[in-house]
Amino acid sequence: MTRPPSIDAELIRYLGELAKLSLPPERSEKLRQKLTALVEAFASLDAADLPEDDAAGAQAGPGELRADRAEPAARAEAALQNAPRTAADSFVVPRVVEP
Amino acid sequence: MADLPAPPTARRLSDEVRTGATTAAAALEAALDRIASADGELGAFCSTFAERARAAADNVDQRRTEGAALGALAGVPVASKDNLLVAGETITAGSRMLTNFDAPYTATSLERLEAHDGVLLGRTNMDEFGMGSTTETSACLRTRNPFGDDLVPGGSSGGSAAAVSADLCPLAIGSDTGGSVRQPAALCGVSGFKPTYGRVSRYGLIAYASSLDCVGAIARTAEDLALWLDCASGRDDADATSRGGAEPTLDGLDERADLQGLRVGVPAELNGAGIDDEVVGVTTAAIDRLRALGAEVVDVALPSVEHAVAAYYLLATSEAASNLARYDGVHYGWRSGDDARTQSAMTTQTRSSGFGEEVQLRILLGTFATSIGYSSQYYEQARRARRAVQRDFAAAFERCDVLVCPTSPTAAPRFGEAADEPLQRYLWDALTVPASLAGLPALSVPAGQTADGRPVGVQLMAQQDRDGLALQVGHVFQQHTDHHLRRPAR
Repeated sequence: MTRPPSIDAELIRYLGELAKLSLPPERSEKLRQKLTALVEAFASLDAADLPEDDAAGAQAGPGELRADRAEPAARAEAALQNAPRTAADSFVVPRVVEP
Repeated sequence: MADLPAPPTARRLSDEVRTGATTAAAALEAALDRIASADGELGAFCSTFAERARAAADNVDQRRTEGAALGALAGVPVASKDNLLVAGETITAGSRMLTNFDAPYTATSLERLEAHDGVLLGRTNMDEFGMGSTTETSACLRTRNPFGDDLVPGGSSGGSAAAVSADLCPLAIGSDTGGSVRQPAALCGVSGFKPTYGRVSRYGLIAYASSLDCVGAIARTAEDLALWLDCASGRDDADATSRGGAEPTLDGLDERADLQGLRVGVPAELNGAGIDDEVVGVTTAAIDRLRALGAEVVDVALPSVEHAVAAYYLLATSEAASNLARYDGVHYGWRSGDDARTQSAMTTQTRSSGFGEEVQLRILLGTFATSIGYSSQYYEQARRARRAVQRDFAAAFERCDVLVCPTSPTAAPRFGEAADEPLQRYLWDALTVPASLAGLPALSVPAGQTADGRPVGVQLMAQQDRDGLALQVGHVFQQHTDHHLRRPAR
């Protein structure tokens, strides 16, 4: 059985970067402790003798698929309905290219 | 609850509306009165859809006046969990992230209830994005268990369970990824049903873990849950995992007067270690009752369920980390960091302030489980464990027709219990996640109470697509017991 990895502050920072979460020190340490407990407990799976996964999910899959044809796309008005900031039928985001 | 009369069951109420003994409008106003009177303290509802509901109820009554044939849910007020979309209404999934989100369309599973003349009543509180077993992670409000002010209602569909338990409405819709309908139903003393994976469309359900998510329902009786299933189920082109062709369940409920010829399997792994003594006692008594009703009780083995909690949490959080990537502060919902220098920085600020701590923990766990260097040890092993659980169930069902175990290892915990011990909280799901991993239908029915008056539920699981059998056994049980009729004292 492989030893469970050490969940240190650097790993938490890296995971936060992947997940786009900025974690201030106090929250980072609290989450580190909780994640450590979970990762250590779930490491028992690694030692288990388990069958090959030959099924994708909870069941065999859908009974039938819908016809492969294009459907009308959402109207711009509907797509923008809940956007935090919009302008001229567009989503507004912070500038990403320096002027 | 309060001084107002309890509502009849959904089936009886719809019969009364169809025959003119009452009206949909009267049933709705009674429900709104009960909510106004009792929900201030209880906190089951985030909001009601009063205007929309009154229009729908009036439409039902008008059509009856005109002689139209009304649907199976005629005039029944139906609450829906705050993660099922209702067009034009604010739906938040219990998260600050969606505080300002107005649903652009109605979930298929709710549209079908409206097509059967049900009346959507309001949205019920839940753990944020379904991530919790107590409804404490909601950013909306605190929901209490009607059986005790200091008790949690369970979760994540805690608002739906509390609403039915407190007689605010006869039927409430929830979602069940790892037990989120069955567990709160058990803790609040009502019945809860998770159908076979794919039997009810998830279109319009805010996603948590897509290979596990199911729409389910909570009511006082198994009969009402069969009524709901017949109205809600079926193929939906908008959800590729949905399937049709299932036999109606309600008509078959009364085919059995007893359980003669039925084999009930008791898996030792879900009926012993880690379960409170009082819960074991209630379950044993329920099994004795099933035997007295004619069932043959057999021992079966599910050895792989020892891995079920680990497998479930690794798979669910891995899928959640992907599903929740859509909350980027651009397309909908909460945004923070408009002054950030880049879109990426804005998204990071948005997610860091929009998601609660439990959601952030689960995103980190899922990100960890699927990241290079750890995925073979965690995510891939979890997939194998899921397969092992599925095989164990298949073998068990060669020896029996339904399986029985407690729904939850404990009766309702108190607020804040084990707050900083996620593993202990995750173990509260140990008895419900196996059926979720295998995509099985599972029903929780009230079976008794602890000495201090907290409800205890037992769970009946059946093979895929044998939803009707699980509901039928629950119905027979309820024909011979009165646990489901016991109301909270408040």
